[in-house]
Amino acid sequence: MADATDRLTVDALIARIVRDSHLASDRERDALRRELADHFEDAAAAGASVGSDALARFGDSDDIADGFRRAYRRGRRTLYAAKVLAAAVAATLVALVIQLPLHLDVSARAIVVTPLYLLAVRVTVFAVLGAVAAWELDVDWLCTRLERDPVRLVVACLTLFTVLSAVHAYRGMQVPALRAFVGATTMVVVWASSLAILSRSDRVFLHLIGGDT
Amino acid sequence: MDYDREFVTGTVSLLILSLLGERAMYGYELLQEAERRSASEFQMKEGTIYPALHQMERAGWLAAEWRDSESGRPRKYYALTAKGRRQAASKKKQWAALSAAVRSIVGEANG
Repeated sequence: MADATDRLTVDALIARIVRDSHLASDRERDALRRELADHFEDAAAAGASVGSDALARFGDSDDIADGFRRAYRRGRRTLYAAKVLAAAVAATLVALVIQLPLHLDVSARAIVVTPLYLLAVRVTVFAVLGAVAAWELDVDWLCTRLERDPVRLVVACLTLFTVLSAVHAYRGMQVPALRAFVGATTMVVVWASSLAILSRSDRVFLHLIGGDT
Repeated sequence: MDYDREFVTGTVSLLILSLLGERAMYGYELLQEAERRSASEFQMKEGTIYPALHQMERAGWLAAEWRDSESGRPRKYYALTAKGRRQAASKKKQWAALSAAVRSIVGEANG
């Protein structure tokens, strides 16, 4: 009898949480109902006490439903799009600032930006958008935080230096090796800074949808 | 031990990411594993883990699938995605730095 009463109490709790979570589809509601029912089934199978103790251990149903509402709230896609856009803009601005000192001509009376800066801007924007795409599409090998892995950092710099040198040679451009190396290193810094910004934006996004509990 | 909520805030996602970094688990299994490893010191309100799991799944840090558990019953298993692995590494690093800094202050204060 007690078991049946406990079962009804648990069922009522689950129904309340599922109802108050305001999930959009029947499929999501069914999956949540099933997942929560499994929890109590596992607790009972593990020999944990049921009834009021189980409910107390589970926590306040309003808090839990509130957590689900935040996870599934409307506007989340808009928030996600805003996050990607904000991260891309921030990463691009930072990248352009990183590139700027390399393209300043201080030999003239006034400090001017060299014509090559326009080319650097195009390449940089392309690189940043590539980093954003790799991050959001979860291309793991492209998303290594290079600043935390010195070996990969050096390998990336040397690889990019080789590629840049080959491109310069192919196009018949006379670019000193040191300048090519600095350019390659700068692109790696741009990539690393973009990933750092994307990582931070992910954390902010999760915080906004209530995930950092 | 009952912990201040402010201490626990922010650590749940770290614990989830750390445990799932070892293998895929379902919600109750995660809770049991956290309790076992902390010798029952770490006990949270069990129901709060589920919104956290769903939020991380929707953020792309976790992937979920229904499959048979060891008991033969189907359970919703969560596993880290590549993005989740990166977040786990980042959070662990932050936690190590923060806990060392706090320990150095609190430890000194306690003499």
